[in-house]
Amino acid sequence: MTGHVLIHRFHPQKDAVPYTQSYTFRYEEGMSVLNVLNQIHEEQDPTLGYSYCCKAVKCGLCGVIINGKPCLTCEQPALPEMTLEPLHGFPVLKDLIVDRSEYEARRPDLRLYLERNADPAYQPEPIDMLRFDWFKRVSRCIECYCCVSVCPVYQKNPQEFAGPCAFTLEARQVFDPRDNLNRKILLKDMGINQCIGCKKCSSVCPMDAGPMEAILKMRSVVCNNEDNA
Amino acid sequence: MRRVETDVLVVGAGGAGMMAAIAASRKGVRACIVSKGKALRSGATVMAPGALAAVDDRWKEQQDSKMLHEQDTLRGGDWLCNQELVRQTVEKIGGLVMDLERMGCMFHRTPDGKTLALRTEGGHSCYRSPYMENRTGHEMLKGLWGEAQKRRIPFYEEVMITGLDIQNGHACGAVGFHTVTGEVWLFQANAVILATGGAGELYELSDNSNDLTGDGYALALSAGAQLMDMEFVQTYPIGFLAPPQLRGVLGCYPIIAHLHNSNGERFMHRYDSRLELTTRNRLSQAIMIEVLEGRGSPLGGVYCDLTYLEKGYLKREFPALYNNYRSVGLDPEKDRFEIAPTYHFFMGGAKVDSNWQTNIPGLYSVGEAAAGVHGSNRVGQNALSEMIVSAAAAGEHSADSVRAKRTVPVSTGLAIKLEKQLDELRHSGNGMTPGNQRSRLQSIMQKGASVLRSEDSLNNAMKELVQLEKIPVKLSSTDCFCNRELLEAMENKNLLLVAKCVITAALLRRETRGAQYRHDFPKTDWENWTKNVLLEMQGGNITTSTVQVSFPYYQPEVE
Ligand SMILES: Cc1cc2nc3c(=O)[nH]c(=O)nc-3n(C[C@H](O)[C@H](O)[C@H](O)COP(=O)(O)OP(=O)(O)OC[C@H]3O[C@@H](n4cnc5c(N)ncnc54)[C@H](O)[C@@H]3O)c2cc1C
Ligand code: SF4
Ligand code: SF4
Ligand code: FES
Repeated sequence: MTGHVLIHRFHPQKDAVPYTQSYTFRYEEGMSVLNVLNQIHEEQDPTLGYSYCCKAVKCGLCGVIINGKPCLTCEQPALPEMTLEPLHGFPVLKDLIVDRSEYEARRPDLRLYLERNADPAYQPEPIDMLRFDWFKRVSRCIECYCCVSVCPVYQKNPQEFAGPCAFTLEARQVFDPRDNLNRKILLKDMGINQCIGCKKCSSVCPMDAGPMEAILKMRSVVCNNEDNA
Repeated sequence: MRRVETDVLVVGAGGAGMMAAIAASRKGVRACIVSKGKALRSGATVMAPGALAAVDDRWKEQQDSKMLHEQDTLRGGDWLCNQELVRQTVEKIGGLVMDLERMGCMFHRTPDGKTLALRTEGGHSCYRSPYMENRTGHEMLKGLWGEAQKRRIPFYEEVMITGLDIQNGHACGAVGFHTVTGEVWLFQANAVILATGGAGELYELSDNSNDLTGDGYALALSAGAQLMDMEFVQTYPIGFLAPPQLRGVLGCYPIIAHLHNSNGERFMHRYDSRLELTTRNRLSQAIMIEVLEGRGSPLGGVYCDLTYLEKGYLKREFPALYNNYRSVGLDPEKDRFEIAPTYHFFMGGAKVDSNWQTNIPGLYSVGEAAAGVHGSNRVGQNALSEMIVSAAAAGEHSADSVRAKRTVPVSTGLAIKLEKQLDELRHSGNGMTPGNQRSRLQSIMQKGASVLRSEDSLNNAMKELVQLEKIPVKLSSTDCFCNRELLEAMENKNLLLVAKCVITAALLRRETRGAQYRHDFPKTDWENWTKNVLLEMQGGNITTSTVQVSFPYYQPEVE
C-alpha cells in the first residue's frame, strides 16, 4: 500500500521560508514513523533532515509533531497519511531537526545534581519508599521535549516559565530523599507558579514521567511547605 | 578550525566516558569529554534496561561471593577472559556502585527501603545485580552527568573524533569534526581515553543505537594499538523480527521466555538443561541451528511464547516491555511472536593492561571499546560493571601519569588533512550513497559473519567487502551543515575496517567457542585455542598473531 506524508522542510542557508514537501512511501502494517523517514532517506531523499539515535524510546532525540501531536517517531506507529513538522517552540536547524542547545543550556542553572551536607554514614542508605516512588517516576524523563512543545505557558512566555521538562528534571532532585538543598527559590525563579495545570504535558509524555503532577506536588510540598514528603 | 587543550581527553559520553572524566577530574587534572552523540542521548549505556552485577557484603545473598561472580564470568567467557581484569572488576564494582549512589544515582530498594533489590540473569549463580526499573543505564548516566556538571567538566558534543595524534609513540591528542557545522576540531591532551562503545551498526539486525560504528576500534588500530578478541560478537538471543518498528529491538528476557520452533517444540532441552537460561551464545546458536535445520519461523527465527504467564504478571513486572508489545498491537498474553538473535555487544576491543592502557602510552580504552573481561562471551549484566570499573581505573591512572609529562604541541597537520578529506568527500564524483553502502555492508556481515560461521561464509564476506570498498561513495549534497551523509561516510570507513577485523579473526580461530560458532569446526579445541587473537595494522594491512591466555587464578574447566 502506498502511503503519503507531508514533511516540513527548511534549510537555513538555502531557503528564505520553510515549505512542505510531499513524499510517497511503501506503507506496511507495524511500521513506525521512523521507519518511514528512514525509507525516504535511504531510497528517495538523502538530504532529508531528522534526528534519532536509539530507535527504542531512550534517547529522546526523535520527537516531531505528527498530525498535530508531538510524538517520538521511533515509537509512533505510522499512518498511511501523515503530516510531520518540527517540535514547536524550538529554533529549527534543518527540516525536522530542532536546536535543543538553547533549552539544554538552561540545565546548569537548575543544579541537577545531588546536593547534600555530608556523605552518608552507612550505605546502602535506607530510603523512604513513598518518596522513592516520586523520584522514580520523574527520573524516567528522557528530555524529548514533547511536553515543552505543547505547554501553552511555555510557548507564550519561554523567558519566565522554564517549561515542563525542566521541572521534571528539577523534580528528580526535589524528590530525592537524600538531597539537602532547599530548592524553593530556584523553583520560584523557574516560574513554577505560572503553570495552569492544564495537563497537556503529562498527556503527551511518552515515559509517563508526569510533569504536571510533579509541578503540582512540588508546589504544594516545597513552595507552600504543606508536609515534609 | 577549533582548538581545545586539556590534560585528559575522553572520547565518548556513555557511562564509561563520564566515569573516566570524573575519575580524572577528582585527581585534580583537567578532563573533558568529546562525543559524537549528545550526553544522555547516545550510545548503549542509556539503552541498558537490565542491571549491573556487583557482589558486596553489604547486600549480597548469603551463598554468593566475589569468587563466585568471578567464576561465573570466566565460565561464561569460556576461559578466554583476562583473569586479572576480571578480578579487578568483581573486586571494585561493589564500592563503585556505592560511589555512584553518592553521586546521585539511585538503585532499587527492597520493599522496606532498607537495602538494594537485586536481579539476576542467565549465567549468574545468584541474584547479585542492582538495577533501577527498566532503565538502569539511564539512571547511572543521570547520576554521572550530574556529577560531571558539578565538577564543571566540559562536554563537546556532536563532534566525531576521526583520528588520534600519536607523537614519539605517545598519545597526545585527537582530531574530529562537528557533525552539525562540519567544522574541524583539534584536541591537545596528555592522555586520551577511548570510551566509544561498540559497533552494532555492522549488522542488519541490531539493538544498538545508530552512533555505535566501531570508531574506537578503528581509531586504536589505525594509531598502532592492538585489538583483541574481535571475532567475538555477542548477539542478544531474543530480538524482534517483526513488526518493522521493533526489528532488532530486545524482544524479551530469557528468564521469562519460552522458545518454540515451527513444530511447536520447546527445543532448548536438546541443547542445554538450563533451557532458555543458558548463556546467551548457546541460546543464539541453538535458535540459528533450528532455523538452519528447517524448523524456523517464516521470517527466519523462532517463536517466543509468553502466553503461559499468569495474567497481569508482565504488566506488573516488566512494564516497559509490556508497553512495547501493546504499542504495536501485540498481546503477549495471547500471541506468540517471531524472534531471532540481534547484535548486542562486542567482546573484542583494544588490548589493555591492568590500567586499561593500550600498547601506546597515554592511550587508554574503557567500557565496550576495551577487550579482556568478557573473553569469548559476556555474561549479562557484566558490561555495565566493567564499564564503571575500567573507566574509574583508567581515569585515575591517566591523571597520575599526565602530571609527570610535558605537553607536546598537537600537530595541526592532522586537522588540515581532515579538512581536505571532508572536502573531497563532499565533492566526490559518481558512486553509491553512504546509506546504501551501509546497508550493503550490514547485509554482507549478517549473511557471512553472524552467529553461525564457516570458512566459506567468512571468505565470501571478505570478498564482498573488498568489492564494496572499491565502489566510490557520492554524497547527495556538498553541504557542510547538518550533512548526515558526511557523518555516515566517515563512519562507514570505520565500519569497513572493523568488519575486516571481525572476519580476519574469525577465520583464524578454527574452533567453536563462546560467541563464535564455526560450522566447519563445531568443537571447542582446548589443545590449541586457549588463545586470544591479536590484530595489528602494519603497512596498511591487518596482521594477526595469537597469544596464550594466562591462568593466574583458575585453570579452565575442560568439558
Ligand atoms: C539494548 C541494550 C541493552 C543492554 N543492557 C545491558 C544490561 O542490562 N546490563 C549490562 O551490563 N549491559 C547492558 N548492555 C551493554 C552495555 O549497555 C554497554 O556495553 C555499555 O553501556 C557500554 O558503555 P560505553 O560507555 O563503553 O559505551 P556507550 O554507552 O555505547 O557510549 C559510547 C559513546 O561514544 C560516542 N562515540 C562513538 N564514536 C565516537 C567518535 N568517533 N567520536 C566521539 N564520540 C564517539 C557515542 O556517541 C557515545 O556517546 C546493553 C546494551 C544494549 C545495546
Ligand atoms: S500543566 Fe503546566 S507545565 Fe504542563 S502543559 Fe499545562 S501549563 Fe504547561
Ligand atoms: S517529561 Fe516526558 S514529555 Fe517531557 S521531556 Fe520528559 S519524557 Fe519528554
Ligand atoms: S530514536 Fe531515541 S527516542 Fe526515538
